[in-house]
Amino acid sequence: MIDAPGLRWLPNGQSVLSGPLLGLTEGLDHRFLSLAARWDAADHRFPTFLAATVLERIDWFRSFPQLATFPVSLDPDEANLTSFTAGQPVDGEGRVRPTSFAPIHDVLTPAACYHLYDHHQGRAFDRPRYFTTRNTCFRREDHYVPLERQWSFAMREIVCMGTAGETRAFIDQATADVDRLVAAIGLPVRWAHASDPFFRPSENPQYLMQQVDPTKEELLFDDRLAIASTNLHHDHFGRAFDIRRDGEPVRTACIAFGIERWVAAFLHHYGTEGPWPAL
Amino acid sequence: MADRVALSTDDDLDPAPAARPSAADPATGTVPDPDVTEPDVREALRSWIAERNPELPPGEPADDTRLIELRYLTSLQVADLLLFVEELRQEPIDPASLRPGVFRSIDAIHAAFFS
Repeated sequence: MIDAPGLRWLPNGQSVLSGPLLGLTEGLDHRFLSLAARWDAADHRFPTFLAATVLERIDWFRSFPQLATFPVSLDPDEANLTSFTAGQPVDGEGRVRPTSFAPIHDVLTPAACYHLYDHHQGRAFDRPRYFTTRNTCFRREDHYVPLERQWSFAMREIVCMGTAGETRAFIDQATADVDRLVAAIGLPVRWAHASDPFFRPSENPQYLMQQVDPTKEELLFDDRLAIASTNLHHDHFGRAFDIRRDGEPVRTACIAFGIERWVAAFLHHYGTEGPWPAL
Repeated sequence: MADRVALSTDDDLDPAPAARPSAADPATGTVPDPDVTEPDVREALRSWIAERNPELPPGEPADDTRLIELRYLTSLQVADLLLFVEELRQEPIDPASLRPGVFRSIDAIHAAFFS
């Protein structure tokens, strides 16, 4: 397990960053934002909650139920709250002892870009559009590793909405720009085909499609840790959210950066106390 | 379950749209048909795609039309196409063995499963 000044690991799969490590985190995100500037991508800051209906549109819950984390609250009925407070709200093993929950309508953001498709729902574009957003993302996993696999982590994404040719050109340009970035700082990485972590993949047609039409490439640090990915979605989100380009469902593509994973790569490759390459 | 599309010439493919029919599966009673020619296969694939894309002009998609890139084949249809290809060639296909590009076009499907 990595140990670095300014890193505090919490047993619930999350980390606290401070000092130079926090500076590195922000420096990396600043660098990713400078990549987004090539396309004049407008930055967006969305909340961490996402309406469950948004993900239901793309059948996300059936594809990735194992990753979902929900914000829950107690049923506001006074009798319920009275019952909750009368008991022991948290038991000796740290488990909340709820009485009754209010209905759950939201999910904690599992990937930053979903907000953008919902945000632009029903729009019609007549030229390629580029957006960027950073969010805290949540993915329930069966185990966690500091900075590398966390329940919550920061993700920066740059999204293109356009024609098939424009989204392909975006992926090619983004890949080239990232290649230049990692070459300049000397990080040992390579791109590799990848698929999303579908629940019961053999039963999911989207997994089958990713096999025959690879649309996801991951940038692997040290042949093992995906620190970025490019994703070509075809018209998947354009259809689901009725976003159109010249009358047709818009094509979308994105590049995503897992910021804590970049920090992990820096710590493993350049040492935990720096100096780290200038960004 | 795969929808069936008749070959353009006489054929004796098992008409029962059984899941994953196999030449080795006695339940389906299917046997390879040596009379199914390459043009038959291409025309059957073309018809299968065209049925699901009624906006396509007659004769389309061409053998080299990029089926996935142009969205004539979506993720919801790819599993059905796999079943249809299994029926056409009268042999099962292990989904884990599928390689990138095998459903890119009719040419690619033919090269991957019928050559």
